Order: sequence, then structure tokens, then C-alpha cells
Amino acid sequence: MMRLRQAGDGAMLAEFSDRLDPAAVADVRALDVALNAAAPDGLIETMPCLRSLLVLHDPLRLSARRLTALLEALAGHLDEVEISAAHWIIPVCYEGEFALDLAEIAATKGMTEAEVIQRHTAATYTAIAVGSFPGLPYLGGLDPLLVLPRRVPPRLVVPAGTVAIALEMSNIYPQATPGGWNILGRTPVPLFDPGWAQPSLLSPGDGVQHRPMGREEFESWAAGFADGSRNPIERCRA
Amino acid sequence: MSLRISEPGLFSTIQDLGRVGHQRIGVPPSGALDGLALRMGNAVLGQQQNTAALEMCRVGAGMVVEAASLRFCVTGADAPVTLDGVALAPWRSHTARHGQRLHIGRIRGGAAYLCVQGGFALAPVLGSLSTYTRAGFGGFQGRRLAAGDALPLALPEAPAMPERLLPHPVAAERARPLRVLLGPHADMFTEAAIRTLLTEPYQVTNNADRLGMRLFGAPLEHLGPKEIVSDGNNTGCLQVPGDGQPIVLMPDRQTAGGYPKIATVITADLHRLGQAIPGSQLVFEAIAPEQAEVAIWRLERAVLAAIASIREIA
Repeated sequence: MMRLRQAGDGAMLAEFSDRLDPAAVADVRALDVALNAAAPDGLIETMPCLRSLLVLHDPLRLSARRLTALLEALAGHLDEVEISAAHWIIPVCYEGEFALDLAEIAATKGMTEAEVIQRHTAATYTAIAVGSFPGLPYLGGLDPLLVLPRRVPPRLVVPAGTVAIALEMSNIYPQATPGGWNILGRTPVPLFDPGWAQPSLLSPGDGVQHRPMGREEFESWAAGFADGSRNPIERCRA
Repeated sequence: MSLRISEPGLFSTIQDLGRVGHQRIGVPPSGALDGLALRMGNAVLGQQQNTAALEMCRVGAGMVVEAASLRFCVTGADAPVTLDGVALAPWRSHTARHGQRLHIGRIRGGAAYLCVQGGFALAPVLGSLSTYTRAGFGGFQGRRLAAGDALPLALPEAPAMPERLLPHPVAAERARPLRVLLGPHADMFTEAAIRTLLTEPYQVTNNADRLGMRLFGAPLEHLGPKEIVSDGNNTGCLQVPGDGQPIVLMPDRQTAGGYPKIATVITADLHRLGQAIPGSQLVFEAIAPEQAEVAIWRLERAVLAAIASIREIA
């Protein structure tokens, strides 16, 4: 069921659940596609998030009342919306100082480190949302046995490329920022560059898998991205 | 030709009216804190209202004109403006010659704008010249200005034309409450919390920047959970973490957040919100969605009237 919450006079939240829930993720995605296809005059942009779609609109051109009517009409036909998604394989080095919390996670979960890595790479993830920071994917589909709370207090700096887990999700930090997620490893793949034709490697709805990579391969990939000889889209498309 | 920065001010960045269409990949809108002041400055100069300008927060910048001549207009919160030490009036155009020193002093509000005729010769990033310092892109090298920076100007000299004046700027009306629509998560707060928000003043703390402003006042009590599974953010929303003290989100905010939002400042009052500074007392008034629609129509009508009133100085 969709619930509309007005978020000021220029925004509407179409909420499908109060929890992380795969059905809600699918509904958000379908409504996002349908609304952007309808492209009403005055629609500014949409932001799919974990359980809701934020719709930003120009109140001078698209009133809340008209937007509400349109969203309600579209919500009745979400099953019919055709959705396409890209798929990516993003390698992760789970070694040494890249894997800051791996030993602790293994101990907390009563697993070996190898089993933690195996469970993290076996899952197929969906980028439920890309946000809070440019290019940062919230990846749903984490193995339920790896679910953990966030770290309190958060770390002041988490390096770019860090792959980390918290709650029922995995993520990748595109740039060094503060962060409270539990760190498993690091990818050499750059996720965001405002100069790329498509500035974020991952778009909401994309599928992602991880594969383990050794330190040597990590360094070789990192060098290739740094000197421009490697292209993340070509290297990572599944 | 450029503007050579001698004193950068407290937080000076290039801003236009913001970056549209990239929130879905985590890029916030950025853009002028007081978009109305930016639009007016550009209107005085007879150019596109979205032309990027220099936004200065709380303390203005000093610079030397390194072009044959430059026409400019300062708008926004009141601030002393001098050219080679001679005081100049804001909300009207002036022309500086090569080598003259332009200085904007302490700003009595959140932000002042230096609009220049022809704009700055900078490349847009994701469709906008707005600076987003947190990710380091847009504007001038993705950062706030530093002493020694040379801001490239688009025009080598000011076109010959009379100076122009905006006689009656649209007022920021500091004393009037900020109008909000309750929600999107007003139902996650007690009735007492809603009443408190709409009756008690909230003071802007020192923890205030282009991302958001932490407020301090009577705590607002959550009805149930103090966190939500994240959803999209909107500029002007008041999110309330577990301590009950609201945070107003500003244009460089994160695109998603996990705290319930009790209310959202209406579009027509965002330019007033942008002029708040640490120590400002904010009072909130809830209005109906229909009233918010009237408010934005009224504001745009006032903007059109103000633009029509711009006249040449004899």
C-alpha cells in the first residue's frame, strides 16, 4: 500500500513500507519508472530510497493535489511497469588493513573470516538507493547471518573504496568520509566522477556482485584507474 | 581577466540556483542560500537570474579587479561595501576599473552576493556552477575561496550602459515566523511536540553551515521510534534526532536521512531561512498546503514587480 506524505510544498514522499522490505523496494522502483515516463510538467526530479520515493516538484507548475492524483493513478498499475537494470561485478580485497573489522565480525558471528568473505561474495545485491553521498550505493540482499548494527561512535574517516556492512545492507564508500559501518574490505573501483557521462557507476535498481581479489590484483587495478588505462564501466559490467 | 581574492571571507563560494536532477545518485542541489537575493542581483545587471555569483557567508571578501572594467551588484544581507575605501550602496550596479579594490565587510545576516555582469568563466559540473565543497566539485575548483585565487571573469570590460537600481528589494522580514507545512513525519511526534514547535522559539547554534543548522530550544518528543529507515531529504525540512533538538537541512545537505522530519519550511520562505545565523531566533508557524501555494504565487508576483521597478540611474 502506498502512503503519501507531503514533505513541504515542493516535495511528496510516496512510502510503501516503514521497514526494509523487498516488495517495497520493487514498488518504489516501479513508481519511479512510471512517474518519470509520465513526465508531468513541473516534475523536478525523483529520488528512490530504501522504502519510499521522494518526488520533488515545482509548486508553481505542479500542485500537490495534481501530483497526488497522478501518483495514486500510477500506483494502481505498478505490476505492469517494465523495469530494466544493469548488472555489475565489483571486486573487493578483503585483506590486511583493508579489512579493519573482519576479525571482529567473524568473532561476533562465530564464523571463520573465510566464511564471512564467502557469505559476502555469494550474495547478489540490489542497489536499493544511491545517496546520502554522491555515488554511495545502499546494497540490499546481505546474507541474514551477516546482519550487524552500526558502530557507535562512527569512525571519523573511512577511506574511499571501503566496502562495509550494517543492518541488512552492504555499501561502498565512494570517497573518504566519516562512517559507522563495519568494514570488510576495499575495492579499487571508482564509483563516482562528475566528469563521467554517467557520473555514478551504479544507478538505483542495479544488480551487484562482489568477488574477492588479492592485494596484487587490487594494486594493478588501482593503478589502471589512476592512469586512465582502465575504465570502470568496461571492467565491471557483468 | 579575473577577480583576484585578497581576503577570502569566512566561507565564500560560487553558487547559482542549484544543481537539478542528480539527487537519485546522491548529489544534493547546493545553490544559493538566499536564491532571491541572487536572482535580484542578476536582474539589476540585466542578465539571466541563474547566473552564478560569489556567495559570502557572514564575513565578506576583499578582491582586486583585474579586468579593464567590471560592472557588479551586491545583494543579500546588509554588509558594508567599499570600492577603494569609498562606501557603495547595495542593490544597484556599479562599475569598477582595473586595479580597484572591492571589499565586502561583516555581513549582518547569513549571506551576501556579489553578482558580476557576464558571470564567471567557469565550467558547469552536472549542469550547474554551484560549489559542493563536501564532494569537492563545482564552482571554483570545488572549494571555498582562498587568498590569492583568481576568479576568471567572462567579460574583459563592462559594456557601456547606464547603472541600474532596484529601489525596493523583496524584504527578508526577519521578525516574521518561518512558515512550515507539518510533515512528512509529524505523526511520529507527540501532540505536545507539535505544539512546542509552533509556540517556542528555536535558536540557531554555532553548528550551522551550508549542510544544515542545528537548532536549540524546547526538546521535541518522538511518539515512538526516534529513527526511520532512511528516505529522501528536502531542503528546509526539520529533522529531529533522538535528543529532540531539530536540525534544518540546507542546500548542501545529504540526499537521504534516517531521522523523522516534523515539519518543512515552505518554498516561499527558504530565502528567509538562508539568512539565519548562529544566535538567530527562529519561530515556526504551521500553514495549510493551500496557503503555501498562495505564498509562492505571491512571492513570484512580488519578484516580477521588483524586477519591473528596476530603473536606470540618471
